[in-house]
Amino acid sequence: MKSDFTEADFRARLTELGLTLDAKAFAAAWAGAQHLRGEVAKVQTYLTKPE
Amino acid sequence: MTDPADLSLPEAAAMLRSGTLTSRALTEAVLDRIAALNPRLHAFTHIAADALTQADRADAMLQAEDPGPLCGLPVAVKDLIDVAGQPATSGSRVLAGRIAEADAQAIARLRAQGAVLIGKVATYEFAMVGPDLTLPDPPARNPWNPAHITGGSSSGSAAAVAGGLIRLAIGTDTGGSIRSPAAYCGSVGLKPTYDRTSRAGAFPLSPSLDHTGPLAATVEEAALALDAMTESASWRPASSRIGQPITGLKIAYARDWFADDPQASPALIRAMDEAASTLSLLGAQIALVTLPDYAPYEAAASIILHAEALEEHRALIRDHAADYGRPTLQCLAFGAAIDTDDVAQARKAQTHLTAQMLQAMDGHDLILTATTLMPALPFSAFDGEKAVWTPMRTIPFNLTGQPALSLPAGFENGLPLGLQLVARKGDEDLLCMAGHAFERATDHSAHRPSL
Repeated sequence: MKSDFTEADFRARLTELGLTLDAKAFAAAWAGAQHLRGEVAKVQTYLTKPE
Repeated sequence: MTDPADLSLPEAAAMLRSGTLTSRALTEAVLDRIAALNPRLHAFTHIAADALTQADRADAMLQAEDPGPLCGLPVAVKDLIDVAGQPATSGSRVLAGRIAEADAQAIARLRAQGAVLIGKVATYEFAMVGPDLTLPDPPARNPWNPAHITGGSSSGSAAAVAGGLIRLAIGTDTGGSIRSPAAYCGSVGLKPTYDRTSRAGAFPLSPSLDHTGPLAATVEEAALALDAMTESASWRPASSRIGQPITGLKIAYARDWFADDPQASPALIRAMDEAASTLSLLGAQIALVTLPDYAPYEAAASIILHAEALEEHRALIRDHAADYGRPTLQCLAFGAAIDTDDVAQARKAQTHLTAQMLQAMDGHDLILTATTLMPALPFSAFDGEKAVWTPMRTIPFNLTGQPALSLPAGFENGLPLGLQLVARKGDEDLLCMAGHAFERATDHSAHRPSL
């Protein structure tokens, strides 16, 4: 997945899943998605430099 | 005379065999206890209509043969795991009305050994997230203070055991779902080695991280239950070293994993230091160690968990999105932010991280660390739209597949705290030996909430 994963990308992925969220639910899901992208970055950093 | 509902599993098993107790009388006592306390705790979501018939069958089995230590003993099962003829909704409207046609494989083992499958206990929806106050079943409540959560996702299992409704409940653990509610409620929770127990017939959350295992009132009871659930005789029985001295056992105390986190409560840190001291006084050799950094473990496991959860729910989401609880659906949606390359990287990290953890255990038999970093939060903390994550130190051992045991370690403001012992794969006997010794040397597990 491209590193600059955007809100529009996320919306498109949810549409592919057939998932429509109201504004509040989307905001919460997007916050979680960003957190998860942060976890992806942590794994990439770890693999670049394993302890 | 002791109420049969308060007998430990070994005590009840001995009385069943001496003829001083029947499974029917024991099951009736447990049913009475559930009827009295469940309205306050919401731990049970279903009581088996055939519980007494099962008990009668167990009494007959005990006359003819001895199918194992759990024969005739009541067991509760998390509503994520199928029990034939009982509701199986995974705590969700999505599966409302579903009745399991067959036992999950681990449950079939218990039934074959004569256990009385007395009913189903609450779960966070699909073992994903909670508490969710909008679901049809009210969330289970912490027996020590019903204004507080139980933790999850084996919420009803922990509440039922800690509340004294039953001695043993079966749960599942994908990121800490046996151990964290055990810690929050003051019961024992044992996540076995990956693949030691069957997951077949439990609704999957993340198959490569999912485990089934027991929550029980004591370590010995958890060990007996795990032995009954274990798939193959090639595993050393978890109960085989219960009662043996722990002199010389080498325990790596991973204090930095929790004490360096600003979220860790001072009472938890004190309780953990006291636990290390107690284990030392019992003859264990305690060494302060620095484990590999926690963050990559949590990161890799989260990626795998969310990717697999979304795959498991893809078809259901398409057809039943409106039936999901809002927090669960939002949480499942997170998985749309990752792709197969991300998962491949996480699995590569998993291999490295598992090797690193084993390397850190070199020269040690067990790891000692915290289960959760604070006692259970109040329900009021979950009122808003924002997700609330409760800090814990459990998910690394779902990633590495190592067995881990949570047991009571003290209290803060009247709410339980839990410690966690971790072993190498297959070393549940060492884990339970150490946990049992600690339990016997302290009174943390002896306290019961006044309900």
